[in-house]
Amino acid sequence: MDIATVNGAKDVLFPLEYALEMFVVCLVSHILLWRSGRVRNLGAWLAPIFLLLPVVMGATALAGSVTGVVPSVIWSRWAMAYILHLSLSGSYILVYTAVAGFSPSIAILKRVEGSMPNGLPRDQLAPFWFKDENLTGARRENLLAAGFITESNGMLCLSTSGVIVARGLVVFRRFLGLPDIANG
Amino acid sequence: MNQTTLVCGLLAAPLGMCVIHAIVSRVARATGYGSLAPQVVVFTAVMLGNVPAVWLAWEFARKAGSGNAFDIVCAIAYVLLTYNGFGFCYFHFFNATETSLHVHIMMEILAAGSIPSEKLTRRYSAKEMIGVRIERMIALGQLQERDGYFVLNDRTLLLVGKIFDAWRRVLRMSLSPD
Repeated sequence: MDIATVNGAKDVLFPLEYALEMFVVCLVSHILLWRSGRVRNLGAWLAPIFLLLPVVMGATALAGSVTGVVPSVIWSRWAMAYILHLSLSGSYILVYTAVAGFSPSIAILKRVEGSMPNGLPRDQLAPFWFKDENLTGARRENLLAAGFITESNGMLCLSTSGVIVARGLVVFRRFLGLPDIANG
Repeated sequence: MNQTTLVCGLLAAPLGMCVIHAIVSRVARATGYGSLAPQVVVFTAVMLGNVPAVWLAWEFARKAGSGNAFDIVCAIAYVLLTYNGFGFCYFHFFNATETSLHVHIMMEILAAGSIPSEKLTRRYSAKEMIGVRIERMIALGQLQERDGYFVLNDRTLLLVGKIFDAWRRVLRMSLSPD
């Protein structure tokens, strides 16, 4: 059905309005949960908050429309709203990963900023937490915990899921015409 | 254009970005811009994708709504927000294949079959990582070396870091990893 034949302005406004409302509700829930300090492994809660909460909101609206409390649900508008919400939530989850992860590059820039206008020589650029256990060590532990790698007799190997992910990334980079492993 | 076409178009946007990125990446190398930072190339590719996105937004705005200016602005805002949200995700996904230590470790193991844990620690030592990051920040114009001293050349990434710190405060998270 052509948009113009449905309901004009509401088809344009509803997805934008509702997606932003969904995103704000999820963001506020996320902030309140984090500030409460009652949850461990906070990162694991992001996907349920940003991806499942809107589904619950949609189901509530559907239930409301069945009982006649709210106007009937037009699925194409909901799909549009959910896609915008998905794009905003995906962006936020990626930003959160960077916020929670402490970027070594930003840490270096902060140290340089503190020494301006003279700057710093190379041997003084590293912040105090720049230790192997906080860098490679932490990453290796994350990969082991996620099941992407396994360790046996001091040797690290990829698990089946690790091979699938790594090969997928190789295909992606080759499609872009780039070397399998980046320099950075 | 109907809503289904628009939804399909937006869902296909990351695939479109990947194709544009592959073209831009090859054109950059063929025209002597191969030394451009990969982040600059992917940013350019995502921005170029705004051209068809704006066309999609315009078509949507033209056919949807009552035709008044507010509806047109809303329609364009909807399409551009959605496209650029996916663009942001694509940029970070690609950037992870360039800079993420997790990805690098997995790629090294894939290439070698298996590697000793100690070799990994040596390969990605703090000293090694500082060197790589300095080179990247110089390439991106964030840092500059003057007579053996490193100084700030651009404050964009630093500003991002300060926004991250402010957000950590909002979420009551630690400001330092130790």
